[in-house]
Amino acid sequence: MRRSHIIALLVIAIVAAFMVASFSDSSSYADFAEAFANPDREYHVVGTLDRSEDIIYDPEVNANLTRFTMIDNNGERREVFLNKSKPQDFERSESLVLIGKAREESFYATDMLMKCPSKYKEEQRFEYIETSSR
Amino acid sequence: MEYVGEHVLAGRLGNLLIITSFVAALLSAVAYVVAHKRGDDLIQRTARWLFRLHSAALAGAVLTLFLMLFNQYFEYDYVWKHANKEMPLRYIFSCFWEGQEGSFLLWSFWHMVLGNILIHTAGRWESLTLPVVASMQALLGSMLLGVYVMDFLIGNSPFMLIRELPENIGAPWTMMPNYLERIPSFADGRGLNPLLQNYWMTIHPPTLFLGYASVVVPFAFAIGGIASGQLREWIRPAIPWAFFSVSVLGVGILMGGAWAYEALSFGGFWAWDPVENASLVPWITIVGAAHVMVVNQRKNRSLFMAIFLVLTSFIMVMYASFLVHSGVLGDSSVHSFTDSGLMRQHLSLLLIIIFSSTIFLLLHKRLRLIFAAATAVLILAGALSKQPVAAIVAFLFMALVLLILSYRKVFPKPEKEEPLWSREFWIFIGSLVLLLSAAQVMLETSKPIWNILAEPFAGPLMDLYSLTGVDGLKSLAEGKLAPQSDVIAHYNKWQVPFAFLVTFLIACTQFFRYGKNHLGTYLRKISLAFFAALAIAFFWSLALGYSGDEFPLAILLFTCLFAVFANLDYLIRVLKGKWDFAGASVAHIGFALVLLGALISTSRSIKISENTSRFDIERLNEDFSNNEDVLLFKDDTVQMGPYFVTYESKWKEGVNLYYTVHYFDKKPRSYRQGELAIARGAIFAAREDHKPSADFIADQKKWELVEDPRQLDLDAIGRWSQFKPGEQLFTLEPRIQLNPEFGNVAEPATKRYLNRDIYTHVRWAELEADSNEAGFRTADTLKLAVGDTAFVGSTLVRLNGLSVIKPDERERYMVGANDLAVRAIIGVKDDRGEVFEIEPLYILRDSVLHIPDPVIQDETGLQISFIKIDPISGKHSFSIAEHYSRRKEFIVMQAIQFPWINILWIGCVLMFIGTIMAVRHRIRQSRKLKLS
Repeated sequence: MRRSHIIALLVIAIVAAFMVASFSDSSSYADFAEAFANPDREYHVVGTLDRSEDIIYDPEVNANLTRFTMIDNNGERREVFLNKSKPQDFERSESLVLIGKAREESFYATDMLMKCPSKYKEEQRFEYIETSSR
Repeated sequence: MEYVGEHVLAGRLGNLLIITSFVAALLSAVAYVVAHKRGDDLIQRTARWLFRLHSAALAGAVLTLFLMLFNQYFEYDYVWKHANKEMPLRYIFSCFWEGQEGSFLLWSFWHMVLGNILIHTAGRWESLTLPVVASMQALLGSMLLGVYVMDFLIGNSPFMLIRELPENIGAPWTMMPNYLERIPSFADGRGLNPLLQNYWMTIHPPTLFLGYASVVVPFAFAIGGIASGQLREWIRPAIPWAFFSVSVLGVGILMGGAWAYEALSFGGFWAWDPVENASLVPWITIVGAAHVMVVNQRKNRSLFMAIFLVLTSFIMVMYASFLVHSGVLGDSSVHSFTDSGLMRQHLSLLLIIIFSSTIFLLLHKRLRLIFAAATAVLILAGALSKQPVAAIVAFLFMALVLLILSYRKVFPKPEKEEPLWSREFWIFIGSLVLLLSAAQVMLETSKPIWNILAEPFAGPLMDLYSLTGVDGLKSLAEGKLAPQSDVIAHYNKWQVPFAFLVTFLIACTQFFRYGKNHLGTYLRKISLAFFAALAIAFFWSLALGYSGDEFPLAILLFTCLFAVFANLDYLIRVLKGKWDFAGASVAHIGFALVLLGALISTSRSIKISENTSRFDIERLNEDFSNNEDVLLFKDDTVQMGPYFVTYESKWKEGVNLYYTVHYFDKKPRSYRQGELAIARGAIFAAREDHKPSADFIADQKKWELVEDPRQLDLDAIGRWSQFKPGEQLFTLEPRIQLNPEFGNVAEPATKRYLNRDIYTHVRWAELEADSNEAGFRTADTLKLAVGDTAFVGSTLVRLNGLSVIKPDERERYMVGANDLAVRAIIGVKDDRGEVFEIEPLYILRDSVLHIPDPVIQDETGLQISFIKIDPISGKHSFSIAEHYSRRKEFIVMQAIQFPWINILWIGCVLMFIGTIMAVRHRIRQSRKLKLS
């Protein structure tokens, strides 16, 4: 066997190992229903903040804990414990991605990605335009 | 209709210049090709002038956009979105490239500059490289056209008036000639995101984009070389350019890291974020390319690798642009992406580049025909069957198969393999390792794309899942595959071994000569660096505690040191200070130091901020951690890691709120007999003089519980601690930038020492004082039955009883004769245990509820109203507010200690200097060759 063949085989083996490792390590997007059906498995859950419920962040009790309610894309509401301080402008967030596990009645998130609307002044502008043109 | 106050001319000029630049680039490309085919000097000169026309038009468009931003023509969408009146002038450049159109303009501008340099320096390669550059310019230019061709929008122009935007056409206000005056929103723009109001935003994007743009030059040489049948000859003139790319793109990426570290609160300099990764991948591949190109010039080896890596680097640049601009990354990044609605065009751009690179690399005419025909069939099939994703997958697969075929059957290969112990072989292996490392980063970053590409194959993937039981396959079949929850750990797992191999090869290969080496001599030469590195790595690893699971880090520590020493040794013993040839060694030392600094500072970074409250979050969930943030009450002195810290005050300057935090030395302390301390929620008095040990429990015999603390001044008693604050060491002022438009942004403050950094940022602070005119906070409603207690802040409230006001008490309570009044007797107990009583009233006047003014209890600062009697449940409602002054101000802060991060920054500088030296050396060499 030529040296180049050995090298080629090694390369293929390493690339295959990437794929396998990547698949077995991957997390999965899910809704609350799926996450609560498989407690203690890690999921990414996408949803929006439930503004009708309180956001409880009491740094005097614990600065690393925020509690709130999230509505997932199917409309299911769940209480969330987030192991982070309350993000700046949390109330204004557009959508959330929780990373964590479900247990009993609550979702325990170790991390969260948050999208904020960047264009909201534009919306304001159009509102204004409607009133001004009347 | 004439609109009042619009500066229409600027926009029209801009659009005209964009179109001129596009058309001239296209014509120039065609003319260059014709000129090369016919060898016609006149046509070549025409092509050159067309490229200059393109250059002038493009420069004009850039200038026009600058002037529009400078003069603040807010009727234009781009100006309105990215500038405003408040913004200091120095950020005008940042506004220019904040948006997608501006960044394309910047990218294209650099291509244009490089194209003009090529016209002057490329000589006979001009007519071969310029067609490629000019075609790229036409493709990029098409992203800026903003023209409709049969309902399809081609590109987005930065010169669009807001009233011309598709969503505004036909809106009633566009019929008003004086809309600019009548609608106040046009008076000022939205302005620049505060995250980007930073000097890094002025220098990072142009450097990074110059890096991206520079990759087009080696690419153009490679394509020109293949097209003219000069498979090897293109490499020599392209080498300086490849090293130029390595240098500039590398600096651009590291600047991004420095920016993230210095001004953004991501908690580090590298987060394996998709946007960072997208720029890293082409850098890794161009580094590999530059190395095998050098090898190929010395020994005719690794030709396919050189061409393949150069083409791949350029494709990866286009892929980076696709990932960042098309919006496909969506939720997986902290960077925000605006979907420009040009997804299809971005995708087409990428596929065109992949297609043309592949067709050139196939070399053989018949393979090319097959590829082109099959691609045409796939385009048709994809369009007709409405399965474009399947067609794209089939296209990519076919390209791969044909490439392997071309490599095996068509590509010229040297007869013999290179000697095993030779520089050329191990550099080739190094480039292969780099390619694999880049592939891992790219595949991982592309996860959102896997989901899209897998869509047509959901069925087979599900079958595969039921066979293997790998959850990832099911997720992929459902399009739900998500990044790892700990992405950084996953990347490190793979990239640490790659870094280990690369640094090891850097060390070893330097001492190899080209051609055959005598192994014994070689080993003697390298042994000095090897054993020096081994000895230092051994002790340093012990000191850092790299063992067990972390043993791979010890290996990496060794290989990094080995690379540094081997290159240093080479520099001194072999080159003997001949600086002209030292570029490679200096750059390699720099690179190894970057990795070394990254390794130590990230693996041994510690969050010294810690939750010290009574509530243990780790008990809530085992994945949760207390080691995140610390709560700092104003004026309290708290232990944090190796320091004592005091949050002293906040102050405002412009849009920034600064939080002044002092850091004090930690000194061992002793307690004297009778001294008081708070521990485990109670107050203790010391029985004897003693030095405290690490844990209070161990010292418990030396303490006596104070049974009745009522007579004590509680403010003067501190928490039990083994240490006491010593002298003040330094002060940090992390800040929050206030921006109602985009959201507030926390910016870190860092204390730099030679061997470590203390990096802090404010995670949470109460920005708006929650208090009304009288100074009370928002009231809570409490429902209390007789005997119930509740906390309001630190005050305990108890409803002791209710009683009806009797006629003889009416005067005292100022209640009218016809009123029915009930008094609540409420006991309040402050944090020192003092008890007070207050009596809010509930009054029905002529059967209508009349709420008297709330009752205020001065000592505890509580304001109470009695708002509802509920005889059924027995729980009565009270509205209770706390006075603002009762609440102590606080911030929540995170502090991270990064050891030895300065090694990384020194490495960055060395790497830049080294690569620039290499570029200079290569330019000189090719000049010398030209002259001889």
